Amino acid sequence: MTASPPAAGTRGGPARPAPVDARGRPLPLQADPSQPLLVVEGLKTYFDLEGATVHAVDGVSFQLDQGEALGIAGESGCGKTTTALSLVRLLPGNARIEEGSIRYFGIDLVPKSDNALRRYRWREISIVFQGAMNALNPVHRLRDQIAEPLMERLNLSEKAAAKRAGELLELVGIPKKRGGAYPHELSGGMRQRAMIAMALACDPAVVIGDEPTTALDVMIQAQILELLERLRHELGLSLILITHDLSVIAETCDRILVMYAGRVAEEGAVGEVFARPRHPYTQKLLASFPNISADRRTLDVIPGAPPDLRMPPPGCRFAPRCPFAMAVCTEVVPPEVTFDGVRVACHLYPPGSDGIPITVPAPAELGTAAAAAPPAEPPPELPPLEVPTS
Amino acid sequence: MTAASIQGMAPRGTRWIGRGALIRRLLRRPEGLIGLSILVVFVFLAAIPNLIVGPLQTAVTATGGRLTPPSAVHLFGTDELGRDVLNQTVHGARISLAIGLLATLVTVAIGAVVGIVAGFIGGWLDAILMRITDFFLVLPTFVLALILTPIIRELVGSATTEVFGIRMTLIVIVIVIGITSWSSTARIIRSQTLSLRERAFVDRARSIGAGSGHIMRRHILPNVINLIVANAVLTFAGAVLTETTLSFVGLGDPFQPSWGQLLEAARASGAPGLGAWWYFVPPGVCIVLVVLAFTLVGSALDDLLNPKRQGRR
Amino acid sequence: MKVGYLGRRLASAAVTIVLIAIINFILFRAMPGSPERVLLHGTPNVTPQILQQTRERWGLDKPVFPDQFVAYVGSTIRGDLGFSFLARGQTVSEVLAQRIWPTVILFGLGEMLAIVLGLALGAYSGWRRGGAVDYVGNGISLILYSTPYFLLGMAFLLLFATTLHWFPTFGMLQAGAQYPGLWERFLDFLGHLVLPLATVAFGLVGQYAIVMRSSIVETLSEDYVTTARAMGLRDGRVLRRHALPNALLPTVSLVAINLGYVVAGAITVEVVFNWPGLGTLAVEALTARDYPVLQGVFLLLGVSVVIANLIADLVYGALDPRVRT
Repeated sequence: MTASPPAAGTRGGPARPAPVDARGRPLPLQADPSQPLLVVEGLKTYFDLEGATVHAVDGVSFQLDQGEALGIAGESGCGKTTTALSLVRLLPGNARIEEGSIRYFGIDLVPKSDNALRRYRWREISIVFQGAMNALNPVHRLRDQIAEPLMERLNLSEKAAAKRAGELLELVGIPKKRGGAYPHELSGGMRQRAMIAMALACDPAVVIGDEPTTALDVMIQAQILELLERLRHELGLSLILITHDLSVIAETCDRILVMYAGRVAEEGAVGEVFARPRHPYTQKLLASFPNISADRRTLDVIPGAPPDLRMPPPGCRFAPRCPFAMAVCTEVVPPEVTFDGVRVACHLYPPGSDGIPITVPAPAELGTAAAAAPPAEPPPELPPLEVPTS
Repeated sequence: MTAASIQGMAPRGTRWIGRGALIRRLLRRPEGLIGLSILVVFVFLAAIPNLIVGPLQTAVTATGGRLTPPSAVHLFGTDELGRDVLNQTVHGARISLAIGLLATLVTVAIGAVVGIVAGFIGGWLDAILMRITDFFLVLPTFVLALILTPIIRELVGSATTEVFGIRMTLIVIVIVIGITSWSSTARIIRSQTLSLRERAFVDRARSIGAGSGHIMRRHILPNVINLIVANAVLTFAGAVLTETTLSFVGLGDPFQPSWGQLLEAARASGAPGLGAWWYFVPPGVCIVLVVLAFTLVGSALDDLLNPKRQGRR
Repeated sequence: MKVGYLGRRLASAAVTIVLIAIINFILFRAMPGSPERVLLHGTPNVTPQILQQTRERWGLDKPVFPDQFVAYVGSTIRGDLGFSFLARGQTVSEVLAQRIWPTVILFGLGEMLAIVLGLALGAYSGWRRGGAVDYVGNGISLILYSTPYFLLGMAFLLLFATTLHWFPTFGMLQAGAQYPGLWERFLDFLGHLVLPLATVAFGLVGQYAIVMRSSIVETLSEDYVTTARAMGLRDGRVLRRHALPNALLPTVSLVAINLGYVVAGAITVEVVFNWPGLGTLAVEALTARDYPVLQGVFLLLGVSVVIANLIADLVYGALDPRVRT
């Protein structure tokens, strides 16, 4: 993009060139391309219920660089979706961002008014929801829904918007002529592709995928993931993938952020974290996935349940279920420590740690220790059933 | 094991345990509380009218002047024959509520039977029953009721038997309301039956050889009871309104005046035009309160029992 | 696609109309008194000859089914519904024709007002949940929903006509009045129309507002509305283009289902205000045992409701593509 000439009537001084990102995309005027794409620091999002406040996101920080794919993993209720929705402030009426900053190329989105924030929605950050039945409006045709942001946000003419909508459909692998269809006439996979096409309409810098493949069967899942990969490389997109399915993250993401009960447990490059999970929760998470090439064993289950976020326990929130819990874990919130390109929040890795956990002699009474449990016995053999012959 | 299959294996008795808890939850909601309180008051009035205002005044036993406004002696004034309006209104509670109750029983009975049978048996029987149901939904049932009532009254003759203290003329209205109002109940029960039919416990019952009638009676019915009750409450509201309207057009019984009949008498004697508000406002307000109460309770029950609405608030 | 849906709806409506005709026929047979006496009731000087003529004309000397039924259907299609008892010498069709327009005007206008006001109020309440408008509006709607229309009418009559003398109390036009011109006649008509119209509109508004409100509330929590907001579309556009078209669907269904009940209200409101329409006709016929007229009203109203339902179905099909396939 070339520098735009100064507008008539502006005060003197050198004309500022319109900022662009690494792909040459024009950015909002306040953006600073030298800053990282997205930096979230100490984000706290709370929900106000009758008489209680739910600390859904309680101090989450991470960074997304241009062209990167970050996977946010964790079980239901850990705050990953709320984090993503907070980025574009799509929160329900009783939610509020209590604290923290969300910097998009240096621009802090948190203090912005709702109206000012609208500029960033879809044009800078867009979302692909869990496709399923209702993310697409059932009474509008596909091409009209894709054309809508083009006309409303980019001010394209109807013809130009229709043309671009067709191109977007082709891009995601939907034949252009299917554009006249209604959502209920499409399969789940096609609906998800359509949602991706819609998300790309305004050429955003970041696309957030909230469980984009959860509702689909495995074959279609693979297709969608392949599509996302292809688009990422072709268009240079940055991706935030939210899912509880670690295999999806393993396949498509560069970095992984593991969340638990509203906080970050661990974060790092996918290869490193999967090979050497540091946080006990991450270890358990990985262990609870069946591995087709490993030996047969009974699946590990994490006993207990996530804490009630209306009254989260003091200290580390995973302590009640952690097999390595120590006395300090229930009192002090573990600080985040970085080493080997990995960030962990666990007392096993105190500040200054080099990645080797503190040796723990025996599991504390508070931890629901499964480490010392004997291996499960095989079920008893039943005597063969006597079938009367006659 | 999915949650559904575990639920499907619940023994039949467990559904009934929730009843007391349901009432308590109902009372916790404001609309449930208001509705139930109003209903309790009116049931009280309907149960012992004689104790509260004495026996029903007739033209012979009227105690006041004609169309006199409210006074210390006659709290709601008098009607065109000198009868005490308060007296008439309180007795009207018994009539209106009794007819409403009986009509609701008939409506819900027909609707539930049609709904369960259609939903469970399916196939051509379902298609036929649904066609009939839809027909009744579309029909201007009120006009049908207008025509049916005199016809059935002629058929029944001038029997002076009373059912639950209600004269035959009004029982005819009960029957007519039942005949014309069952369709929406049938539709609702049918959808619930359809979803229940797919559940595990039905398959289990079948696999041990249970017949359709048995399954319908002992497995489907207990599970739709809650829905039937919620629907019955709303039906009651509708029945009271329908009876009121039928009485208003002259099908009521002057010897057992329901609130609708009182309103008709008020209109016929020209009360609105003469400014005699005390004649029709009390029965009118009673109708509004009772129907409102039933609607509030019914909608609160629906909120509580309808799984789709839970968690929405 | 659309043709199939249209075709099915038409066929369904046709079947319903036939069923209505059949019920009408059965009622005709079930009426107290023998049919020919009923037909001739009120006609002066009935000779055995006239009786015989009537029998032949109506096929009453032939077996009930199929001959009488066919004759009945035939004459109904031709518009011959028999003679009215009350209005001597007039056919039922003539009587109906005289009384149909006042009803159409009153109820057509009333429904339209109620739909427009109710939907607007409901949408606004649903959009701004918990506001003062919401609570007050909801409360009033609920009370109106529980009030029989005629009660509302009586209250209006008492308040605005008797007490305040703003509007006349009875009828459609001043009885026996002479009007200098068409304009004065029209004004008088309007004056008489206000209270019954207000009654009908208020009676219906409550239901529509309540349904629209809950429909909007439910629609606003759907995923596609979140997507629309995520796109950065303005609130007004989200409401108009995404929420409303979906929220309208249950309301259209309600309007259709309601029509049966509206007829009941129609009759009673007319009675309260002595509005010379089909409603008062039905009640007069009931009181005077003018069964042919009563059945004529039933047939007419029944067919009207079926047609109105058909129109509602078509509107629904236009709004919701899911039913069209």
